[in-house]
Amino acid sequence: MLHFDFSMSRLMGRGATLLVVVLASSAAYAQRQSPANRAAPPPASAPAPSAATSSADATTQMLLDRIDELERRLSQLESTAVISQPKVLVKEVHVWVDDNGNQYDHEVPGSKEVITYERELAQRRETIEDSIDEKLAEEAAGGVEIGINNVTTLQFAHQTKGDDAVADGHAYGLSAADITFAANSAALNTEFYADLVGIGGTPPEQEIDSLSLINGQTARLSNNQLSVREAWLRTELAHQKLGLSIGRIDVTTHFDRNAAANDETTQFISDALVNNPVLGLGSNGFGTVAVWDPKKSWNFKFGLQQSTDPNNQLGSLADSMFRLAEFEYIARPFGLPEGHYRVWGRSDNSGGLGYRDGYGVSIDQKVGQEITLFARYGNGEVGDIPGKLFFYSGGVQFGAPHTFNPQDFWGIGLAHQDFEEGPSEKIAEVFYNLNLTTHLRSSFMLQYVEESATGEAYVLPGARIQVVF
Amino acid sequence: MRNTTKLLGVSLAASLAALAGPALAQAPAAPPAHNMANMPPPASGAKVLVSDPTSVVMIVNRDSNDIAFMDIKTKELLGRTFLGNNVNPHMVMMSPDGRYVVTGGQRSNIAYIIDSRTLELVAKIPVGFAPEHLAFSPDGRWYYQGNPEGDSITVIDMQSLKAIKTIEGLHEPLNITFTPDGAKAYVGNYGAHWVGVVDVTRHELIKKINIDTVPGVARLDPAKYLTEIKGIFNATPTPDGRFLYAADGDLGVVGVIDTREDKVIKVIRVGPDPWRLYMSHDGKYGITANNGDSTVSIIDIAKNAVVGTYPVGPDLTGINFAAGKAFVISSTTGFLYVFDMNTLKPAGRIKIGNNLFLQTATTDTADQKLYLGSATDNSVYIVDGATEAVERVANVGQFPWGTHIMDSKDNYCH
Repeated sequence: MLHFDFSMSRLMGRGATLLVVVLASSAAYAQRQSPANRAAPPPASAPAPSAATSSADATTQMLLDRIDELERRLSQLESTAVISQPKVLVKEVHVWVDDNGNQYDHEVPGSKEVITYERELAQRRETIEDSIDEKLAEEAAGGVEIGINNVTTLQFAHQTKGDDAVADGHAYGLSAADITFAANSAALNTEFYADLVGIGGTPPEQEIDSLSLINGQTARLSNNQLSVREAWLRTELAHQKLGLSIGRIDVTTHFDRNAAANDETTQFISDALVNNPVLGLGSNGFGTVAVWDPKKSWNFKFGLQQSTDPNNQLGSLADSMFRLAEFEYIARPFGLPEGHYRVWGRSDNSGGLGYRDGYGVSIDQKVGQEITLFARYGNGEVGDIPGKLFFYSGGVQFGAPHTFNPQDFWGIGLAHQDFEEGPSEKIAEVFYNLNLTTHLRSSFMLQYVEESATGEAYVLPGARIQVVF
Repeated sequence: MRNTTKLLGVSLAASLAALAGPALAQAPAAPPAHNMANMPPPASGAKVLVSDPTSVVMIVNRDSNDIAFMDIKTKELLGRTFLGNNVNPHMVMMSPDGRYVVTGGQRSNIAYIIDSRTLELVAKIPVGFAPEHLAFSPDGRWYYQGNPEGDSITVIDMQSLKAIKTIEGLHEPLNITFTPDGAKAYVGNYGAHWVGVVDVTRHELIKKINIDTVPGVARLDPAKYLTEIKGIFNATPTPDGRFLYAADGDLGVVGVIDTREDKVIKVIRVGPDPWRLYMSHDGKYGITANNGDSTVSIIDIAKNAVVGTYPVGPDLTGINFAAGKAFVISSTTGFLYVFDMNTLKPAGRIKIGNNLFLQTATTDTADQKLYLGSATDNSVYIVDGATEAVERVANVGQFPWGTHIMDSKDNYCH
């Protein structure tokens, strides 16, 4: 309170001084600006008293306007503190140095160009807010970015076909939390990324004997364990056309991608609508991926990865080598918006039967800004399973205006896989992803699963909540 | 009531103009001649440094507080106009008659008028708070200086070189677009979701055009919608001025405004946080720079539909068109992402350099070369649109963050 009184008295004192200065300067300003001083003759027909009154009114108005202007400026100064001292910057400069060590700012005979650094003063007036923002941005750019992603899923199984099974009428819950770390060096074109995942709960496939995962979140992860899903370093070479990643990798984040069917946390939850089972990848592992991307209509990728569970105590990378190559092309067929067409082939010796091969296709094609068709196809030998696996899937994803909210999307998809010498599976799914806030999404799914091995079929309604920071 | 009468009067006038047809409603004002050879010698007796206003690139240097003038042919600096310490000029533009160059001092709250022949500072005019972007009426009579932090536009008469009016009632006005006939000006309000229509005859805000409604679900997300507004950066006109394309950052849409009726005729959904739309020089396509997911959306202007969405780099500050291509500036990566405007597909990217902070560019009137400001190495990079060759012009001033060429179709600021 004392402080307030003191401040007020100071302000009042300053205000009085200011008022005197304002009035004095305003009077002088008005004097300079008055019509008389601009040598503008008064109207000849106007009576003298009227002209005097009019001039006085004009002067008063000018003074009032001037006071208004000064008050506005004072208010701006008081409301926005600025830092006016010169700002010190360090700049990278190119100079030329000759054999005697003489430095030039231009090329001279016998000199060579070198990079050095020099201090520079800039007359930049910043607000305190600008300075704080700048420092925070510098801090963020040099630090590690941490992200948190949690997805909790609830699913119910209702058996529609086959002998009574234990899963009928059961509910399943699963929660997975990812903590991601990302850091990068723009100067070296290098970034580091790590994803730690903890997953726990009971997915439906624990009681439903399915070929593919009904809840794709459990793919390549161990239940009730904290896992390092990925930890890799990526750099760019050859004028940044060649990207190289090395470390513990999930190659499906690089290969067999699909704009409409690639993410079990926001799109389809059935693994058969997220990945191509002909890829045949058992687990994430040590590997490397090279991407040649000239940022034109095509790119090429090649990857190597240890493909089975590292707990199996493999002797070397050669014991479990998964090799994969993919070509991607961006097309605009029939005047449609862009579509991505990918074809890949892989070779894998993780099954102990020597190298076994497979190939596949992944396509997503927009038919409008808000409608995307997708399809996958695969054919090949997988793991140690006899014969070949034949797979296809397809569907469509819709965005606004075919949604409740502008950021929502929903999709319908079908998948079918069939082992040449074994069982087959049919899956259908529809989902709706509701964007509640920047950090919160909720999805509703309805799946249909039919397994030839057991003769059982199920309908699985479910819901999913995703929190992302 | 008085306001209602005014609005009705203006609406009636606009309706009559619309009924009279496009020839009347959008009749372009006669472009002022900019042949300096016919001008009398400078009154100050100063030496003429620029004899042809179309022959120079103007460079706004934020930290050295000057405007530099570079000869397009020789690439040499012809001179600089120092504005004063702590002025921090933001955007530069030449008057349509080529007589003056103007800029607003973002930290001095002053508009500066420069004689484009002698490069002398001829007037300093107090304007509103933190002046940034500006525009001239097509006849060159009015210089509208936007004051985003003062929520106003200062109207400057280029005949008397005096401020004659302040247009209030705006919300962070960032850009101003005049109709070809100079009758109306459209103001992008970054602090709101509407475009303001100004009657240029009276310099009055007469209408607010809402681009799109904020979705109801926004109320669940105060962290996004109540902390900061990313509204409308500008309203980009088609070459004939008939339609305007106003991107809204928070809503992720582009509203198409019919300037005859001043109403939104279509809302086009694009990527998240579109900065603004850049119009190709033939008016066939518009491209939005979507900083929310580092993509661009290509809009077919005839169909008013997105026909392509492609990833680019982060921190997009501008898009230029030259030699049948679009060049997308990724500020912090040092790259220009290139798109073939015939196939509407990616066509590579150009590395300007490492550790750079790229700003904005202008394109020459032949639509062949870009002049790109690079803030941290005090340079302008000249990019040949056809060959994609890059040439550096160093030491143009401190923190060059904008360039301007008279009559260029890509004169913009960020």
